[in-house]
Amino acid sequence: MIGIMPLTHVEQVMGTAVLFDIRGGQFPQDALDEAVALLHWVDATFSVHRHDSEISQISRGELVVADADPRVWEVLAACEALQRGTNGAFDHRPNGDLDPSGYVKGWAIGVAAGVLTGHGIASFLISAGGDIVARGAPEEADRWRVGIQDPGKPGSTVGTVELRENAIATSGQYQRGPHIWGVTGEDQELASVSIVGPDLGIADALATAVFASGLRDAGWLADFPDYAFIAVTSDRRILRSPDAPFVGTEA
Amino acid sequence: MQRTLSLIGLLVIGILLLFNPDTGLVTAVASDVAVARPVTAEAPTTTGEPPPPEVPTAGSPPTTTPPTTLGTYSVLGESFPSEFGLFQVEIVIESGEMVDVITVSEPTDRKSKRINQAAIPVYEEAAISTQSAEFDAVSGATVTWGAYTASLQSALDEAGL
Repeated sequence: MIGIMPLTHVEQVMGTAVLFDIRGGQFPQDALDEAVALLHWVDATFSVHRHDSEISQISRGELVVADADPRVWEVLAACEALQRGTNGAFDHRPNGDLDPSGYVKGWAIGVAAGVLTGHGIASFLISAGGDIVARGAPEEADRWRVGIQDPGKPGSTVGTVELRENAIATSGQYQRGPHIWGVTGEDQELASVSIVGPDLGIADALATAVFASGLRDAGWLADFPDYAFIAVTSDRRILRSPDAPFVGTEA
Repeated sequence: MQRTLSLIGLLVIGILLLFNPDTGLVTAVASDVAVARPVTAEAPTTTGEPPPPEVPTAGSPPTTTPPTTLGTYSVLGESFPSEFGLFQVEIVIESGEMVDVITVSEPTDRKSKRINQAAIPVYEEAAISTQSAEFDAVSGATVTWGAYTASLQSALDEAGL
């Protein structure tokens, strides 16, 4: 029994493939259906690529936030807080238009995790394109072990993060391409930034923000004490917070 | 070009590591594994697209290549869509254990090609690593990981592993 993915489901949603890896027991079809439906609702409501999404309507001034779904308000409030908290390095109005997608995907995965937990599912992992929420632990282990891709060396990882009841998001040029390739400056040379913490939406926003601003200008990260970082430089040095649950791989 | 060369180099290094008795997952079975690929190539199973209508002969080709070299055989996974195209993998099994994962179908548009050059070797390594319980997942492994793992899972199911 390899048990690589004992109970898995892959859903194409939010512009990515979302993988559910559920361990220990019966496959909870109703719970999964509810979580998947939620992700599609998020897609329909928050997508900036859909003309009829509430976010697009708000952006065009056709809908006021007060009349939108309460969760739209919740997300926009979180984005505002993150924008302030990162001195603008996280920006949900990059070109003046509303675009909360840097937070929404991770937030949605966290809410989907809450759906599964609400159905009594204790051990699972949800990965949206490598941004991961973990709950409980796999069989015969007390932690989920998640490799961090080596951004400069195909086929390798730089190390392993152990997760339990938390999340990891990774941002890097190799992954997102020109989306966040505005990084310049000698002191940068960050190839990827991973953030580990309780909420995937915040972790994702912080990873994007640290990658965009560089570690030197990310002093605001101290205001997020529950979030640890693991940064990989272009010359494969690992810079990390002391509390990051990280074990490196020999180069 | 340079990227392709370095990728090939890394694959070679990876294979060397794999077969190195100190570091590799594959040790004594190396010669058997080496036979597995030609066997697969001679008896191709389906590729990424749904199989074309077959002229009825002796039945459609089996998804599982029959064991030929004392327990060494390959199994083709189903293809799964990613946002960039279809993903399909083939696994090589030796003595009941998955020893290799080969991506037989992958998205080829320019954007995903750039992603995949880095991603697929990571996936393949992660898949074998997961079998050895090193990782449960990989962070930063890009968007098509889901389609990859789904195809891999179908191959594992088919192989009864």
